[in-house]
Amino acid sequence: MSSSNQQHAFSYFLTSLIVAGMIFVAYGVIYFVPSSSTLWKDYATNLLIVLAAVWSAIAATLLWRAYQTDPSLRRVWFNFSLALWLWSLAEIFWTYDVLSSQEIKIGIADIFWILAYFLFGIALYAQYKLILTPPKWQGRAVFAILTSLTIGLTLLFAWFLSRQQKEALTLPALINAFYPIGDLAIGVGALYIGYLFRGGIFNRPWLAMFLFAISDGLYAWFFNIGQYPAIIEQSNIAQYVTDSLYLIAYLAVGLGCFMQWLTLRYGFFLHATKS
Amino acid sequence: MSIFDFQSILVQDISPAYLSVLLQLYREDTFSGLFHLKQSKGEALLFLAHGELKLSYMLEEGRWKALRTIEQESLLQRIGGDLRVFRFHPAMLRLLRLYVENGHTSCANVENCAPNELLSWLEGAFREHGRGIACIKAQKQAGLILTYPDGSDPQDVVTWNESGSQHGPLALNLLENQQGPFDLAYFPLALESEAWKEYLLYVTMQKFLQLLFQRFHFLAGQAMTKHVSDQMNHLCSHHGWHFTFEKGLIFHAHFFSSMQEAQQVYPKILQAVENFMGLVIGRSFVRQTLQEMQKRLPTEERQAIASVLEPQATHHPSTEIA
Repeated sequence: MSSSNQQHAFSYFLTSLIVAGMIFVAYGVIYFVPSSSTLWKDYATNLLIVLAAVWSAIAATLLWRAYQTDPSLRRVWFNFSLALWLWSLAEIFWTYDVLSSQEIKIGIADIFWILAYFLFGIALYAQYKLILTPPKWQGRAVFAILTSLTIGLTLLFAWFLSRQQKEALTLPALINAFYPIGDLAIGVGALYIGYLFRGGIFNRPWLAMFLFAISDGLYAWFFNIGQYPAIIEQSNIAQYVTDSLYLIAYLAVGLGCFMQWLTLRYGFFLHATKS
Repeated sequence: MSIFDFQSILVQDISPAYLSVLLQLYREDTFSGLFHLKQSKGEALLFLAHGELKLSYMLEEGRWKALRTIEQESLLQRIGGDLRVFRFHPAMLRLLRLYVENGHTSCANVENCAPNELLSWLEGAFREHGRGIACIKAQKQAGLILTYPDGSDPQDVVTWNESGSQHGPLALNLLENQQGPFDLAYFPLALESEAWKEYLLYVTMQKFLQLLFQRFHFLAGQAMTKHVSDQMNHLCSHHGWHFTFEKGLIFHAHFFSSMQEAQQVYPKILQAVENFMGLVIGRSFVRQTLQEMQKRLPTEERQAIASVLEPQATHHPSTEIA
Protein backbone atom coordinates (compact mmCIF):
# COMPACT_ATOMS: atom_id res chain seq x y z
CA MET A 1 0.00 0.00 0.00
CA SER A 2 1.37 3.40 -0.92
CA SER A 3 1.90 5.98 1.78
CA SER A 4 -0.40 8.44 -0.02
CA ASN A 5 -3.23 5.92 0.36
CA GLN A 6 -2.27 5.57 4.01
CA GLN A 7 -2.45 9.33 4.43
CA HIS A 8 -5.84 9.47 2.73
CA ALA A 9 -7.23 6.77 4.96
CA PHE A 10 -5.81 8.42 8.03
CA SER A 11 -7.27 11.81 7.13
CA TYR A 12 -10.70 10.23 6.49
CA PHE A 13 -10.54 8.49 9.82
CA LEU A 14 -9.41 11.63 11.61
CA THR A 15 -12.22 13.62 9.99
CA SER A 16 -14.81 11.07 11.04
CA LEU A 17 -13.40 11.09 14.56
CA ILE A 18 -13.58 14.91 14.72
CA VAL A 19 -17.13 14.97 13.33
CA ALA A 20 -18.21 12.32 15.83
CA GLY A 21 -16.61 14.36 18.62
CA MET A 22 -18.39 17.49 17.41
CA ILE A 23 -21.74 15.70 17.37
CA PHE A 24 -21.17 14.52 20.91
CA VAL A 25 -20.14 17.99 22.14
CA ALA A 26 -23.05 19.62 20.30
CA TYR A 27 -25.41 17.17 21.97
CA GLY A 28 -24.16 18.17 25.43
CA VAL A 29 -24.24 21.89 24.63
CA ILE A 30 -27.79 21.71 23.32
CA TYR A 31 -28.79 19.69 26.35
CA PHE A 32 -27.44 22.03 28.98
CA VAL A 33 -27.48 25.53 27.47
CA PRO A 34 -30.43 27.39 29.02
CA SER A 35 -33.07 28.54 26.56
CA SER A 36 -36.59 29.99 26.77
CA SER A 37 -37.96 27.43 24.30
CA THR A 38 -37.08 23.76 24.74
CA LEU A 39 -38.90 22.43 21.68
CA TRP A 40 -35.95 23.16 19.38
CA LYS A 41 -33.71 21.39 21.89
CA ASP A 42 -35.83 18.25 21.62
CA TYR A 43 -35.72 18.43 17.86
CA ALA A 44 -31.98 19.11 17.76
CA THR A 45 -30.97 16.34 20.19
CA ASN A 46 -33.22 13.81 18.49
CA LEU A 47 -31.91 14.91 15.11
CA LEU A 48 -28.35 14.30 16.30
CA ILE A 49 -29.34 10.78 17.40
CA VAL A 50 -30.95 10.16 13.99
CA LEU A 51 -27.81 11.52 12.32
CA ALA A 52 -25.59 9.20 14.36
CA ALA A 53 -27.86 6.22 13.61
CA VAL A 54 -27.81 6.93 9.86
CA TRP A 55 -24.01 7.40 9.97
CA SER A 56 -23.55 4.02 11.64
CA ALA A 57 -25.88 2.39 9.08
CA ILE A 58 -23.94 3.97 6.19
CA ALA A 59 -20.60 2.81 7.64
CA ALA A 60 -21.91 -0.74 8.12
CA THR A 61 -23.32 -0.74 4.57
CA LEU A 62 -19.93 0.32 3.20
CA LEU A 63 -18.42 -2.59 5.06
CA TRP A 64 -21.01 -5.04 3.73
CA ARG A 65 -20.36 -3.86 0.18
CA ALA A 66 -16.60 -4.13 0.67
CA TYR A 67 -16.82 -7.88 1.39
CA GLN A 68 -17.85 -8.65 -2.17
CA THR A 69 -15.83 -11.82 -2.53
CA ASP A 70 -16.49 -13.22 0.95
CA PRO A 71 -20.04 -14.59 1.26
CA SER A 72 -19.70 -15.52 4.95
CA LEU A 73 -18.56 -12.03 5.95
CA ARG A 74 -21.17 -10.48 3.67
CA ARG A 75 -23.83 -12.35 5.61
CA VAL A 76 -22.54 -10.87 8.88
CA TRP A 77 -22.42 -7.29 7.64
CA PHE A 78 -25.56 -7.45 5.52
CA ASN A 79 -27.65 -8.33 8.57
CA PHE A 80 -25.74 -5.90 10.74
CA SER A 81 -26.20 -2.96 8.36
CA LEU A 82 -29.85 -3.81 7.67
CA ALA A 83 -30.47 -3.86 11.41
CA LEU A 84 -28.85 -0.44 11.75
CA TRP A 85 -31.01 0.93 8.93
CA LEU A 86 -34.07 -0.39 10.75
CA TRP A 87 -32.89 1.32 13.93
CA SER A 88 -32.37 4.54 11.98
CA LEU A 89 -35.97 4.33 10.75
CA ALA A 90 -37.07 3.54 14.29
CA GLU A 91 -35.25 6.65 15.56
CA ILE A 92 -37.04 8.82 12.99
CA PHE A 93 -40.46 7.40 13.88
CA TRP A 94 -39.73 7.60 17.58
CA THR A 95 -38.66 11.23 17.30
CA TYR A 96 -41.83 12.06 15.42
CA ASP A 97 -44.05 10.14 17.88
CA VAL A 98 -42.48 11.56 21.03
CA LEU A 99 -42.31 15.14 19.86
CA SER A 100 -45.86 15.16 18.54
CA SER A 101 -47.45 13.47 21.56
CA GLN A 102 -44.91 14.57 24.25
CA GLU A 103 -45.00 11.07 25.76
CA ILE A 104 -43.28 7.74 25.28
CA LYS A 105 -45.63 5.06 23.97
CA ILE A 106 -45.46 1.88 21.91
CA GLY A 107 -45.64 2.70 18.21
CA ILE A 108 -44.43 1.92 14.73
CA ALA A 109 -40.80 2.55 15.79
CA ASP A 110 -40.95 -0.55 17.98
CA ILE A 111 -41.64 -2.77 14.97
CA PHE A 112 -38.36 -1.61 13.40
CA TRP A 113 -36.46 -1.89 16.68
CA ILE A 114 -37.64 -5.42 17.38
CA LEU A 115 -37.04 -6.62 13.82
CA ALA A 116 -33.52 -5.22 14.03
CA TYR A 117 -32.78 -7.34 17.13
CA PHE A 118 -33.42 -10.48 15.10
CA LEU A 119 -31.13 -9.25 12.35
CA PHE A 120 -28.41 -8.46 14.90
CA GLY A 121 -28.95 -11.98 16.22
CA ILE A 122 -28.41 -13.43 12.74
CA ALA A 123 -25.29 -11.26 12.27
CA LEU A 124 -23.93 -12.47 15.61
CA TYR A 125 -24.70 -16.07 14.74
CA ALA A 126 -22.96 -15.71 11.35
CA GLN A 127 -19.90 -14.21 13.08
CA TYR A 128 -19.93 -16.92 15.74
CA LYS A 129 -20.01 -19.59 13.01
CA LEU A 130 -17.03 -17.98 11.30
CA ILE A 131 -14.96 -17.87 14.46
CA LEU A 132 -15.74 -21.17 16.10
CA THR A 133 -16.72 -23.18 12.98
CA PRO A 134 -19.08 -25.47 14.91
CA PRO A 135 -20.72 -28.47 13.20
CA LYS A 136 -23.98 -27.46 11.48
CA TRP A 137 -26.22 -29.11 14.09
CA GLN A 138 -24.31 -27.52 16.95
CA GLY A 139 -24.49 -24.03 15.49
CA ARG A 140 -28.20 -24.37 14.86
CA ALA A 141 -28.78 -25.80 18.32
CA VAL A 142 -26.95 -22.86 19.94
CA PHE A 143 -28.99 -20.40 17.85
CA ALA A 144 -32.27 -22.15 18.70
CA ILE A 145 -31.45 -22.36 22.42
CA LEU A 146 -30.44 -18.69 22.68
CA THR A 147 -33.48 -17.51 20.71
CA SER A 148 -35.80 -19.63 22.85
CA LEU A 149 -34.07 -18.40 25.99
CA THR A 150 -34.50 -14.76 24.92
CA ILE A 151 -38.19 -15.29 24.14
CA GLY A 152 -38.72 -17.28 27.33
CA LEU A 153 -37.02 -14.69 29.53
CA THR A 154 -38.98 -11.91 27.82
CA LEU A 155 -42.27 -13.68 28.63
CA LEU A 156 -41.16 -14.28 32.19
CA PHE A 157 -40.03 -10.69 32.67
CA ALA A 158 -43.24 -9.31 31.12
CA TRP A 159 -45.29 -11.52 33.42
CA PHE A 160 -43.25 -10.35 36.41
CA LEU A 161 -43.68 -6.66 35.49
CA SER A 162 -47.43 -7.10 34.94
CA ARG A 163 -47.82 -8.79 38.30
CA GLN A 164 -45.85 -6.02 39.99
CA GLN A 165 -48.04 -3.35 38.41
CA LYS A 166 -51.17 -5.50 39.00
CA GLU A 167 -52.11 -5.31 35.33
CA ALA A 168 -52.92 -7.87 32.67
CA LEU A 169 -50.14 -9.04 30.35
CA THR A 170 -50.44 -6.73 27.34
CA LEU A 171 -48.48 -6.32 24.09
CA PRO A 172 -46.84 -3.05 25.27
CA ALA A 173 -45.75 -4.85 28.44
CA LEU A 174 -44.27 -7.64 26.35
CA ILE A 175 -42.45 -5.15 24.11
CA ASN A 176 -41.11 -3.23 27.09
CA ALA A 177 -39.90 -6.47 28.62
CA PHE A 178 -38.26 -7.56 25.37
CA TYR A 179 -35.87 -4.60 25.15
CA PRO A 180 -33.69 -5.27 28.21
CA ILE A 181 -33.66 -9.02 27.51
CA GLY A 182 -32.92 -8.49 23.81
CA ASP A 183 -30.22 -5.99 24.71
CA LEU A 184 -28.74 -8.42 27.16
CA ALA A 185 -28.68 -11.23 24.59
CA ILE A 186 -27.18 -9.09 21.83
CA GLY A 187 -24.89 -7.28 24.28
CA VAL A 188 -23.46 -10.47 25.78
CA GLY A 189 -23.02 -12.01 22.31
CA ALA A 190 -21.33 -8.86 21.00
CA LEU A 191 -19.13 -8.65 24.08
CA TYR A 192 -18.07 -12.27 23.59
CA ILE A 193 -17.17 -11.66 19.93
CA GLY A 194 -15.40 -8.44 20.95
CA TYR A 195 -13.49 -10.38 23.58
CA LEU A 196 -12.39 -13.03 21.07
CA PHE A 197 -11.15 -10.34 18.67
CA ARG A 198 -9.60 -8.23 21.42
CA GLY A 199 -6.88 -5.93 20.16
CA GLY A 200 -7.96 -6.13 16.52
CA ILE A 201 -10.08 -3.78 14.45
CA PHE A 202 -12.71 -6.52 14.08
CA ASN A 203 -13.75 -6.11 17.71
CA ARG A 204 -14.65 -2.39 17.50
CA PRO A 205 -18.22 -2.59 16.10
CA TRP A 206 -19.05 -5.47 18.45
CA LEU A 207 -17.73 -3.73 21.54
CA ALA A 208 -19.67 -0.63 20.50
CA MET A 209 -22.81 -2.78 20.29
CA PHE A 210 -22.36 -3.58 23.95
CA LEU A 211 -22.72 0.14 24.72
CA PHE A 212 -26.32 -0.12 23.48
CA ALA A 213 -26.95 -2.82 26.05
CA ILE A 214 -25.69 -0.52 28.83
CA SER A 215 -27.55 2.52 27.56
CA ASP A 216 -30.81 0.61 26.93
CA GLY A 217 -30.48 -1.09 30.30
CA LEU A 218 -30.19 2.32 31.96
CA TYR A 219 -33.14 3.56 29.92
CA ALA A 220 -35.32 0.61 30.96
CA TRP A 221 -34.36 1.13 34.58
CA PHE A 222 -34.92 4.92 34.67
CA PHE A 223 -38.13 4.55 32.67
CA ASN A 224 -39.54 2.00 35.12
CA ILE A 225 -38.72 4.12 38.16
CA GLY A 226 -40.22 7.17 36.45
CA GLN A 227 -36.94 9.00 36.03
CA TYR A 228 -36.90 9.14 32.22
CA PRO A 229 -39.01 12.01 30.85
CA ALA A 230 -40.01 12.23 27.20
CA ILE A 231 -38.89 15.82 26.67
CA ILE A 232 -35.87 17.87 27.69
CA GLU A 233 -37.97 20.40 29.59
CA GLN A 234 -38.33 17.81 32.36
CA SER A 235 -34.87 16.41 31.85
CA ASN A 236 -32.46 15.25 34.50
CA ILE A 237 -28.90 13.96 34.63
CA ALA A 238 -30.10 10.33 34.39
CA GLN A 239 -31.73 11.07 31.05
CA TYR A 240 -28.60 12.87 29.80
CA VAL A 241 -26.29 10.00 30.76
CA THR A 242 -28.59 7.44 29.16
CA ASP A 243 -29.10 9.43 25.97
CA SER A 244 -25.52 10.51 25.52
CA LEU A 245 -24.36 6.92 26.01
CA TYR A 246 -26.89 5.93 23.36
CA LEU A 247 -25.46 8.57 21.03
CA ILE A 248 -21.91 7.41 21.77
CA ALA A 249 -22.95 3.82 20.97
CA TYR A 250 -24.16 4.82 17.49
CA LEU A 251 -21.08 6.93 16.86
CA ALA A 252 -18.79 4.16 18.07
CA VAL A 253 -20.49 1.50 15.92
CA GLY A 254 -20.14 3.87 12.95
CA LEU A 255 -16.49 4.59 13.69
CA GLY A 256 -15.74 0.88 14.24
CA CYS A 257 -17.31 -0.07 10.91
CA PHE A 258 -15.73 2.89 9.12
CA MET A 259 -12.27 2.05 10.45
CA GLN A 260 -12.66 -1.54 9.26
CA TRP A 261 -13.83 -0.33 5.86
CA LEU A 262 -10.90 2.08 5.54
CA THR A 263 -8.50 -0.75 6.39
CA LEU A 264 -10.14 -2.99 3.81
CA ARG A 265 -9.88 -0.30 1.20
CA TYR A 266 -6.49 1.23 1.99
CA GLY A 267 -4.65 -1.29 4.16
CA PHE A 268 -3.24 -0.75 7.65
CA PHE A 269 -3.32 3.02 7.81
CA LEU A 270 -2.87 3.35 11.56
CA HIS A 271 0.20 1.11 11.69
CA ALA A 272 3.47 0.90 9.85
CA THR A 273 6.28 -1.62 9.83
CA LYS A 274 9.34 -0.56 11.74
CA SER A 275 12.33 -1.34 9.56
CA MET B 1 28.47 -42.30 -13.79
CA SER B 2 27.55 -39.77 -11.13
CA ILE B 3 24.11 -38.20 -10.92
CA PHE B 4 25.89 -34.91 -11.52
CA ASP B 5 27.10 -36.02 -14.93
CA PHE B 6 23.79 -35.04 -16.53
CA GLN B 7 25.07 -31.73 -17.63
CA SER B 8 27.77 -30.81 -20.07
CA ILE B 9 30.96 -29.32 -18.72
CA LEU B 10 30.87 -25.53 -18.62
CA VAL B 11 34.55 -24.94 -17.97
CA GLN B 12 37.37 -27.44 -18.24
CA ASP B 13 40.20 -27.27 -15.74
CA ILE B 14 38.92 -24.15 -14.04
CA SER B 15 41.28 -21.87 -12.12
CA PRO B 16 40.47 -20.24 -8.76
CA ALA B 17 40.46 -16.79 -10.41
CA TYR B 18 38.04 -17.91 -13.09
CA LEU B 19 35.77 -19.46 -10.47
CA SER B 20 35.82 -16.23 -8.51
CA VAL B 21 34.71 -14.29 -11.60
CA LEU B 22 31.99 -16.85 -12.28
CA LEU B 23 30.74 -16.64 -8.70
CA GLN B 24 30.60 -12.86 -9.03
CA LEU B 25 28.61 -13.12 -12.28
CA TYR B 26 26.19 -15.61 -10.79
CA ARG B 27 25.79 -13.41 -7.72
CA GLU B 28 24.66 -10.58 -9.95
CA ASP B 29 22.31 -12.98 -11.69
CA THR B 30 20.94 -14.12 -8.25
CA PHE B 31 21.60 -17.65 -9.45
CA SER B 32 20.40 -20.66 -7.46
CA GLY B 33 21.77 -24.09 -8.08
CA LEU B 34 24.83 -26.26 -7.84
CA PHE B 35 28.43 -26.04 -8.97
CA HIS B 36 29.90 -29.50 -9.38
CA LEU B 37 33.68 -29.70 -9.68
CA LYS B 38 35.39 -32.90 -10.66
CA GLN B 39 39.13 -33.04 -10.45
CA SER B 40 41.63 -35.82 -10.27
CA LYS B 41 41.89 -35.51 -6.47
CA GLY B 42 38.15 -35.65 -5.91
CA GLU B 43 34.86 -33.89 -6.26
CA ALA B 44 33.41 -30.73 -4.76
CA LEU B 45 29.88 -29.38 -4.62
CA LEU B 46 28.95 -25.73 -4.09
CA PHE B 47 25.37 -24.77 -3.19
CA LEU B 48 24.35 -21.31 -4.34
CA ALA B 49 21.03 -19.69 -3.47
CA HIS B 50 19.94 -16.27 -4.72
CA GLY B 51 23.48 -15.59 -5.87
CA GLU B 52 25.12 -16.39 -2.53
CA LEU B 53 27.45 -19.28 -1.91
CA LYS B 54 25.68 -21.06 0.93
CA LEU B 55 27.28 -24.46 1.41
CA SER B 56 30.20 -26.46 0.07
CA TYR B 57 31.04 -30.15 0.24
CA MET B 58 34.04 -32.32 -0.59
CA LEU B 59 33.77 -35.95 -1.47
CA GLU B 60 35.74 -37.97 1.05
CA GLU B 61 35.70 -41.75 1.28
CA GLY B 62 32.52 -42.06 -0.73
CA ARG B 63 30.55 -39.49 1.31
CA TRP B 64 30.06 -35.78 1.02
CA LYS B 65 31.64 -33.84 3.83
CA ALA B 66 30.33 -30.36 4.60
CA LEU B 67 33.09 -27.76 4.71
CA ARG B 68 33.41 -25.09 7.36
CA THR B 69 33.99 -21.49 6.27
CA ILE B 70 37.75 -21.75 6.62
CA GLU B 71 37.85 -25.03 4.66
CA GLN B 72 35.64 -23.49 2.03
CA GLU B 73 38.02 -20.54 1.64
CA SER B 74 40.93 -22.91 1.22
CA LEU B 75 38.98 -24.98 -1.32
CA LEU B 76 38.16 -21.90 -3.40
CA GLN B 77 41.83 -20.88 -3.46
CA ARG B 78 43.08 -24.21 -4.79
CA ILE B 79 40.13 -25.26 -6.88
CA GLY B 80 40.55 -26.97 -10.24
CA GLY B 81 38.94 -29.56 -12.46
CA ASP B 82 35.88 -29.60 -14.69
CA LEU B 83 32.96 -27.43 -13.69
CA ARG B 84 29.36 -28.35 -14.30
CA VAL B 85 26.63 -25.89 -13.37
CA PHE B 86 23.07 -26.92 -12.52
CA ARG B 87 20.30 -24.36 -12.20
CA PHE B 88 17.85 -25.38 -9.47
CA HIS B 89 15.07 -23.48 -7.78
CA PRO B 90 16.07 -22.90 -4.12
CA ALA B 91 13.18 -25.15 -3.03
CA MET B 92 14.86 -28.03 -4.91
CA LEU B 93 18.18 -27.39 -3.24
CA ARG B 94 16.82 -28.59 0.10
CA LEU B 95 16.20 -32.09 -1.20
CA LEU B 96 19.61 -32.10 -2.87
CA ARG B 97 21.20 -31.04 0.38
CA LEU B 98 19.29 -33.77 2.18
CA TYR B 99 20.59 -36.29 -0.35
CA VAL B 100 24.15 -35.02 -0.16
CA GLU B 101 24.18 -35.18 3.63
CA ASN B 102 22.41 -38.55 3.77
CA GLY B 103 23.54 -40.37 0.72
CA HIS B 104 26.41 -41.19 -1.49
CA THR B 105 27.78 -39.91 -4.73
CA SER B 106 26.01 -42.04 -7.23
CA CYS B 107 23.34 -44.66 -7.55
CA ALA B 108 24.80 -46.66 -10.35
CA ASN B 109 23.94 -50.34 -10.56
CA VAL B 110 22.57 -50.64 -7.05
CA GLU B 111 19.16 -51.87 -8.19
CA ASN B 112 17.12 -51.35 -11.27
CA CYS B 113 13.54 -51.30 -12.49
CA ALA B 114 11.38 -50.16 -15.38
CA PRO B 115 9.99 -46.59 -15.16
CA ASN B 116 6.42 -47.82 -14.71
CA GLU B 117 7.54 -49.91 -11.73
CA LEU B 118 9.15 -46.95 -9.97
CA LEU B 119 6.42 -46.36 -7.39
CA SER B 120 6.07 -50.01 -6.45
CA TRP B 121 9.86 -50.26 -6.13
CA LEU B 122 9.73 -47.19 -3.89
CA GLU B 123 7.07 -48.81 -1.71
CA GLY B 124 9.18 -51.92 -1.37
CA ALA B 125 12.26 -49.90 -0.46
CA PHE B 126 10.25 -47.97 2.12
CA ARG B 127 8.92 -51.19 3.68
CA GLU B 128 12.42 -52.60 3.89
CA HIS B 129 14.43 -49.56 5.02
CA GLY B 130 11.93 -47.05 6.39
CA ARG B 131 11.75 -43.44 5.32
CA GLY B 132 14.43 -42.34 2.92
CA ILE B 133 15.57 -40.80 -0.32
CA ALA B 134 15.61 -42.66 -3.58
CA CYS B 135 18.24 -41.75 -6.09
CA ILE B 136 17.24 -42.42 -9.68
CA LYS B 137 19.33 -42.48 -12.80
CA ALA B 138 17.97 -43.04 -16.26
CA GLN B 139 19.76 -42.75 -19.55
CA LYS B 140 19.12 -39.02 -19.90
CA GLN B 141 17.69 -38.03 -16.55
CA ALA B 142 18.54 -38.10 -12.87
CA GLY B 143 16.27 -37.56 -9.92
CA LEU B 144 15.69 -37.72 -6.19
CA ILE B 145 12.53 -38.80 -4.40
CA LEU B 146 11.77 -38.36 -0.71
CA THR B 147 9.10 -40.69 0.68
CA TYR B 148 6.26 -39.64 3.00
CA PRO B 149 6.38 -40.78 6.64
CA ASP B 150 3.81 -43.48 5.82
CA GLY B 151 5.54 -44.41 2.58
CA SER B 152 2.33 -43.81 0.65
CA ASP B 153 3.56 -41.41 -2.01
CA PRO B 154 6.61 -39.38 -2.88
CA GLN B 155 6.68 -36.26 -0.71
CA ASP B 156 9.22 -34.37 -2.74
CA VAL B 157 10.66 -35.05 -6.18
CA VAL B 158 13.44 -33.31 -8.04
CA THR B 159 14.66 -34.32 -11.45
CA TRP B 160 17.13 -32.86 -13.88
CA ASN B 161 18.80 -33.39 -17.19
CA GLU B 162 20.97 -31.40 -19.52
CA SER B 163 18.23 -28.96 -20.45
CA GLY B 164 17.00 -28.10 -16.96
CA SER B 165 15.34 -29.22 -13.74
CA GLN B 166 11.83 -29.99 -12.53
CA HIS B 167 10.21 -30.14 -9.12
CA GLY B 168 7.10 -31.80 -7.66
CA PRO B 169 4.47 -33.91 -9.43
CA LEU B 170 5.70 -32.78 -12.85
CA ALA B 171 9.14 -34.15 -12.03
CA LEU B 172 7.68 -37.52 -11.04
CA ASN B 173 5.71 -37.59 -14.26
CA LEU B 174 8.85 -36.87 -16.21
CA LEU B 175 10.67 -39.73 -14.49
CA GLU B 176 7.85 -42.19 -15.08
CA ASN B 177 7.91 -41.39 -18.78
CA GLN B 178 11.57 -42.23 -19.24
CA GLN B 179 12.80 -44.78 -21.72
CA GLY B 180 14.82 -47.76 -20.58
CA PRO B 181 15.50 -49.10 -17.06
CA PHE B 182 16.45 -47.04 -14.02
CA ASP B 183 19.48 -47.43 -11.84
CA LEU B 184 18.26 -46.93 -8.31
CA ALA B 185 19.57 -46.56 -4.81
CA TYR B 186 17.69 -45.96 -1.58
CA PHE B 187 19.17 -44.17 1.42
CA PRO B 188 17.32 -44.29 4.72
CA LEU B 189 17.03 -40.84 6.29
CA ALA B 190 19.39 -39.90 9.08
CA LEU B 191 16.71 -38.36 11.27
CA GLU B 192 19.30 -36.76 13.53
CA SER B 193 21.03 -34.90 10.73
CA GLU B 194 20.79 -31.11 10.66
CA ALA B 195 19.78 -31.22 6.99
CA TRP B 196 16.76 -33.34 7.82
CA LYS B 197 15.77 -31.19 10.79
CA GLU B 198 15.96 -28.09 8.64
CA TYR B 199 14.03 -29.79 5.85
CA LEU B 200 11.31 -30.91 8.25
CA LEU B 201 11.07 -27.44 9.73
CA TYR B 202 10.76 -25.98 6.24
CA VAL B 203 7.94 -28.38 5.33
CA THR B 204 6.17 -27.70 8.61
CA MET B 205 6.55 -23.93 8.42
CA GLN B 206 5.22 -23.90 4.89
CA LYS B 207 2.24 -26.00 5.93
CA PHE B 208 1.71 -24.05 9.15
CA LEU B 209 1.76 -20.64 7.47
CA GLN B 210 -0.52 -21.93 4.75
CA LEU B 211 -3.03 -23.18 7.31
CA LEU B 212 -2.82 -19.93 9.25
CA PHE B 213 -3.46 -17.84 6.16
CA GLN B 214 -6.34 -20.10 5.14
CA ARG B 215 -7.92 -19.65 8.55
CA PHE B 216 -7.32 -15.90 8.42
CA HIS B 217 -8.80 -15.70 4.93
CA PHE B 218 -11.87 -17.53 6.14
CA LEU B 219 -12.24 -15.16 9.10
CA ALA B 220 -11.21 -11.83 7.65
CA GLY B 221 -11.78 -12.16 3.93
CA GLN B 222 -9.78 -11.69 0.79
CA ALA B 223 -8.95 -7.98 1.08
CA MET B 224 -7.57 -8.27 4.63
CA THR B 225 -5.55 -11.35 3.62
CA LYS B 226 -4.10 -9.34 0.78
CA HIS B 227 -3.15 -6.49 3.14
CA VAL B 228 -1.42 -8.89 5.54
CA SER B 229 0.34 -10.55 2.57
CA ASP B 230 1.48 -7.16 1.25
CA GLN B 231 2.89 -6.23 4.65
CA MET B 232 4.66 -9.58 4.92
CA ASN B 233 6.12 -9.26 1.42
CA HIS B 234 7.38 -5.80 2.29
CA LEU B 235 8.93 -7.03 5.52
CA CYS B 236 10.52 -10.13 3.93
CA SER B 237 11.94 -8.12 1.08
CA HIS B 238 13.40 -5.62 3.55
CA HIS B 239 15.13 -8.38 5.50
CA GLY B 240 16.20 -10.32 2.40
CA TRP B 241 14.02 -13.32 3.24
CA HIS B 242 12.84 -15.09 0.10
CA PHE B 243 9.24 -15.65 1.06
CA THR B 244 6.32 -14.58 -1.10
CA PHE B 245 2.82 -14.26 0.29
CA GLU B 246 0.13 -14.12 -2.35
CA LYS B 247 -3.62 -14.65 -2.12
CA GLY B 248 -3.20 -16.76 1.00
CA LEU B 249 -0.50 -18.91 -0.60
CA ILE B 250 3.06 -18.97 0.68
CA PHE B 251 6.03 -19.52 -1.59
CA HIS B 252 9.04 -20.28 0.55
CA ALA B 253 12.17 -19.96 -1.58
CA HIS B 254 14.63 -19.10 1.16
CA PHE B 255 17.53 -21.50 1.46
CA PHE B 256 18.92 -21.70 4.96
CA SER B 257 22.48 -22.84 5.21
CA SER B 258 22.03 -23.98 8.79
CA MET B 259 19.34 -24.95 11.25
CA GLN B 260 20.48 -22.09 13.46
CA GLU B 261 19.75 -19.57 10.70
CA ALA B 262 16.33 -21.10 10.11
CA GLN B 263 15.56 -20.97 13.83
CA GLN B 264 16.42 -17.29 13.86
CA VAL B 265 14.30 -16.32 10.87
CA TYR B 266 11.17 -18.46 11.31
CA PRO B 267 10.16 -17.02 14.71
CA LYS B 268 10.52 -13.51 13.29
CA ILE B 269 8.29 -14.41 10.39
CA LEU B 270 5.70 -15.97 12.67
CA GLN B 271 5.91 -12.97 14.97
CA ALA B 272 5.31 -10.59 12.07
CA VAL B 273 2.38 -12.64 10.79
CA GLU B 274 0.95 -12.65 14.31
CA ASN B 275 1.37 -8.88 14.55
CA PHE B 276 -0.25 -8.09 11.21
CA MET B 277 -3.11 -10.55 11.62
CA GLY B 278 -3.45 -9.34 15.19
CA LEU B 279 -4.25 -5.86 13.93
CA VAL B 280 -7.37 -7.33 12.38
CA ILE B 281 -8.55 -10.19 14.57
CA GLY B 282 -6.56 -9.55 17.73
CA ARG B 283 -3.21 -11.04 18.69
CA SER B 284 -4.61 -13.32 21.36
CA PHE B 285 -6.98 -14.85 18.83
CA VAL B 286 -4.10 -15.40 16.39
CA ARG B 287 -2.02 -16.96 19.16
CA GLN B 288 -4.88 -19.21 20.16
CA THR B 289 -5.30 -20.25 16.51
CA LEU B 290 -1.57 -21.00 16.29
CA GLN B 291 -1.75 -23.20 19.37
CA GLU B 292 -4.79 -25.06 18.06
CA MET B 293 -3.13 -25.61 14.71
CA GLN B 294 0.02 -26.85 16.38
CA LYS B 295 -1.97 -29.44 18.33
CA ARG B 296 -3.47 -30.78 15.09
CA LEU B 297 -0.10 -31.38 13.43
CA PRO B 298 1.47 -34.87 13.29
CA THR B 299 3.88 -35.47 16.20
CA GLU B 300 7.03 -35.04 14.09
CA GLU B 301 5.90 -31.68 12.70
CA ARG B 302 4.48 -30.54 16.05
CA GLN B 303 7.88 -31.05 17.64
CA ALA B 304 9.62 -29.28 14.77
CA ILE B 305 7.40 -26.20 14.95
CA ALA B 306 7.62 -26.04 18.75
CA SER B 307 11.22 -24.91 18.45
CA VAL B 308 10.21 -21.82 16.51
CA LEU B 309 6.91 -21.13 18.26
CA GLU B 310 8.35 -21.01 21.75
CA PRO B 311 10.73 -18.11 21.15
CA GLN B 312 7.66 -16.08 20.16
CA ALA B 313 7.15 -15.22 23.76
CA THR B 314 10.30 -13.17 23.49
CA HIS B 315 10.53 -9.77 21.90
CA HIS B 316 11.50 -9.33 18.26
CA PRO B 317 11.87 -5.63 17.66
CA SER B 318 12.74 -6.01 13.98
CA THR B 319 9.21 -7.09 13.12
CA GLU B 320 7.34 -5.12 15.69
CA ILE B 321 4.47 -3.00 14.51
CA ALA B 322 4.95 0.63 15.34
